[in-house]
Amino acid sequence: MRRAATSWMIVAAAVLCTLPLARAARVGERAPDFSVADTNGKLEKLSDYAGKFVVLEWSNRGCPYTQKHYNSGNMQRLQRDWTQRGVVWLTVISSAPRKQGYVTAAEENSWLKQINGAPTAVLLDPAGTLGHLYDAKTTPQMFVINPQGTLVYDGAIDDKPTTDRADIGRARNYLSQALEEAMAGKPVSTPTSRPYGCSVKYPGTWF
Amino acid sequence: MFAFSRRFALPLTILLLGLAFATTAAAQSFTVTHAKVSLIAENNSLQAGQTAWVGVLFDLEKGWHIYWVNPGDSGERPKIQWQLPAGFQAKEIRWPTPVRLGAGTVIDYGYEGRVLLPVPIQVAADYKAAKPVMLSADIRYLICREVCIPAKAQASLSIPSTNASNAAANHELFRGTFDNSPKAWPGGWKAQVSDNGGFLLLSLDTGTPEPHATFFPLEEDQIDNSAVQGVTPTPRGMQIKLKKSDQLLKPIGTLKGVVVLGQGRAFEFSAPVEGKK
Repeated sequence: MRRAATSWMIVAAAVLCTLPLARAARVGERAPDFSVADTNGKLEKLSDYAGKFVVLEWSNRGCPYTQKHYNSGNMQRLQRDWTQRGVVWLTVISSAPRKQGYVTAAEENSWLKQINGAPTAVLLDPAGTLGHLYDAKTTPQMFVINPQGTLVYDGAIDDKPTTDRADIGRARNYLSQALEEAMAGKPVSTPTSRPYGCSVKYPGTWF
Repeated sequence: MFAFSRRFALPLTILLLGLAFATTAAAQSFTVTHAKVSLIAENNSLQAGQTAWVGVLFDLEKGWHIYWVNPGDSGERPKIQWQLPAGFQAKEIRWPTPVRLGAGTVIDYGYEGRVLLPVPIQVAADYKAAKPVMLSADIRYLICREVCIPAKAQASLSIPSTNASNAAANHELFRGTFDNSPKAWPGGWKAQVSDNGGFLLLSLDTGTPEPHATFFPLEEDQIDNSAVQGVTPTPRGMQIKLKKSDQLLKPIGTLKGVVVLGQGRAFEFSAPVEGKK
């Protein structure tokens, strides 16, 4: 009897643990809540930012597509512009240990200083839990959550899926467009797009 | 262990220093691209006004891959910019059958090993075989293993070439590539696609039960690339169940792609989607 109860509890625990992964975030639906430590050791909870726009940016500084937007200063500019307008910008690093883009909190903080980065916080997700919860596939990949907690954008940063910095000037920035429209109370005209970039370096994947 | 260390310390140090130096030298000289890229022609001669097959041949280092026309969840297709003599015109790449790459929730479509991307080239109407012509191309491609590297290559080819043995081998490479490329949908076969909400159901009638199939979508973002494709053989073909992409907001009018039923049995697929959208 005792053994049966234990097995039952193990099954229940397994089910509970897999539940959040069963269904990834989807545009138009409630953005799943999370609680993940940032590079300053603070727990960042989505629900703490209710009432504000939240941007999630998947990042991997070794990825040439991420580098396109950081080496040009484009990403830092977006971070600065939008946080100044009250947006909470959370950069997420889901690279597993020993994989490209994996960093410790200290390494990330010193790099942020060096590149003049301006996100609200950088979330460390080496187990890929948050990445899988939002089904992030590439770096970069952008999500926008509105003040009511609904996911209103999921996709690419812009419409030029290349590593060429020269393309930034001629690109339509989907993230800014989504934020502008949503802030003006309009529906987001491009609520999803195919994200482009390197695959997120989750644990257990070989590329 | 200690004795071993003492005995080998000096040679080991020299070896390590040498390795460190070699690594630095390689990194400084140019980007290591993990691929050999060249231009080859199917035939060692050209006919005025006709189509000639010319291709970009990638010899990829083990473990590295490049991408199909639809790269899947990540990656980018190779791009070719041609420099051709006046009156010559390059058309679209005829993409060979890709393979599924990756694991987990990120699935890409591409190529490993040796891959030829054939391109039909329209030869100028006033072409005269008197002297060799030079065809050149700038090739930009993303090459990935665990990491991705954007790479560039410059390749050129003179036709006719003086190397006759190469010419025969190249001809074989084109034959092999065409054998492994999607063929037109056979006339007697039927295909239907119905939309049941979350899934697309492809019903194929090939006249015989088909146990295996893989579908490669031509358009990005129509199906969930990482979802398992459910294959059910039927007396006259099969059914393939494809999960629709979460990023899909507009209904799919026509589903286009490549259906692979086995080695050398890849077919171009295109069918209107019926049922609720």
